[in-house]
Formats: sequence, C-alpha cells, structure tokens
Amino acid sequence: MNNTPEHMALRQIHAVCLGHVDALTDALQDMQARALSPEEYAHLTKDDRRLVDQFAYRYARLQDDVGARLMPAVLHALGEDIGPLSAMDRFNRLEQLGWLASADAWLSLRQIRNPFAHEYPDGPAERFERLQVATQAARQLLTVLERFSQKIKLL
Amino acid sequence: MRLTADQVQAIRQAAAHTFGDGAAVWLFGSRVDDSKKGGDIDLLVRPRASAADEPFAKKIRMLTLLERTLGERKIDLVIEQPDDGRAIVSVAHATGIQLL
Repeated sequence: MNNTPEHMALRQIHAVCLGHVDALTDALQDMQARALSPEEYAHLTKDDRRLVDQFAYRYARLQDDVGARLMPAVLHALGEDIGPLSAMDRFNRLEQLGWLASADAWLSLRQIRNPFAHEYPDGPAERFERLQVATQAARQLLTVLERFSQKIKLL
Repeated sequence: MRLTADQVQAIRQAAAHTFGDGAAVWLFGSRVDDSKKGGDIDLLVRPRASAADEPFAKKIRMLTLLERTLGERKIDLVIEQPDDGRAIVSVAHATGIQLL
C-alpha cells in the first residue's frame, strides 16, 4: 500500500473497524450459543438483556464507522472527490467501483440499525423477527467488511 | 397535511411495492398539522391479512425504498398487525390522514 496521507488514514480507520469486527463476531457467537426463544426474548433476564444490548451496540458501532468513516476514507484513497457527494452518492459510487455488492443492501443494513432507536413500540410479531433479521444482517455486515479488507490489501 | 404530492406518491408506491395490493397507509403525527414545521414523517401501514407476515423485514424494505426516493430523513413506520392492541395504532387511525 502507498504511504500517502489518504492511505495512512484509511489504514488507521480500517484497523478500528477490524476491532469492531472481532467484537461483533464474539457478540454474534454468544447470541447463537444462547439461541433465545420468542418467549425468552419477550421476558429477558438481566444477563440476556446484556447479551442483546451488547450485540445491538456492536452492530451499530461497526455499521456507523464503516459508513461514516471507512467508506469516505476508501474513496479518498482512490482519489475520488467526495466533497459534493451525499451519503447515498457515496454508496452508489462504491457500488460502481465494485467495493459494495449493492448500495441498496447497504441502505437496508443501515435501516436495520435505526429501529433500535425508533419511537414507537414494535408489534409482538415484529419484536422477535427483528432479532432474527438483525442476526442475519450482522453476518452480511461482516461480509461487507471482508470484501473491503481484501480490496484494501491490494491498494 | 405537510407532504408534497411527490412525497405522497413515493409513499404510496413504496407501500404497494412492499406489501402488494390492498395495503392501506395513514400519515399521522406532526405532519398532519399545517401549523407546524418540519418534523418526522410518521406512517401507519395496514397490510391485507395475507401480507401481514414478516412485518419487520417488510418495514426495512419499505424504509429502504423511501430513503431512495425521499432521501435521508427520519421516518417512523408502524406496521399494523391483525388484532393490534397498541395505543399508537388507535391514535394513528383516529387522527391520521389516509394516503392509500
């Protein structure tokens, strides 16, 4: 890899993201080992709540840092002028350049993160489904990172 | 109601695309009030009974479509379930404006 300031900044934020990857991988494994039932999820014990919170927090950290820091750093290192680009434009550009398999899929990974902070309570059917969708999404998020890591190595 | 015709159209299309025929949509919350400014877009969707499965996955799909057409903005989407007893669902029906 080059040693331009842009490449060094990219390496730095990439290392931060890899730390989040390890933490999310651990949280995902803990969730899978625990395999909460809908009934247990509806009445979380103190330990189980900690497990779910940890998972949600790790998902959000990785998702945030990849979208807001790693993606802009990649585009900078590729010599792209991202000043005038909206977040959506950046995702589209990364899809064009082959870094993101799908900008829409990335938007969905971001939307999944949001409802943890949404205002209205989920319906009962939605609550457990959210946990299942979020665990699938976490695996997708890790796959996005793998692709980025492979391509960063080649820069 | 404080939505443009284009925004209403985008919401109708996103709901129909995600939930198929027979979905109903209400706008509720601050956007119903013409005297206010800005604010979140609060939407209630009632899918037809046979399309009420996987509400969370569909919520994400519809929010993703809306983000594509309306840009990044705060949208709260409530998906009504059969026999839904949540207070917010009653409030949305009582105070909302039906868009679809």
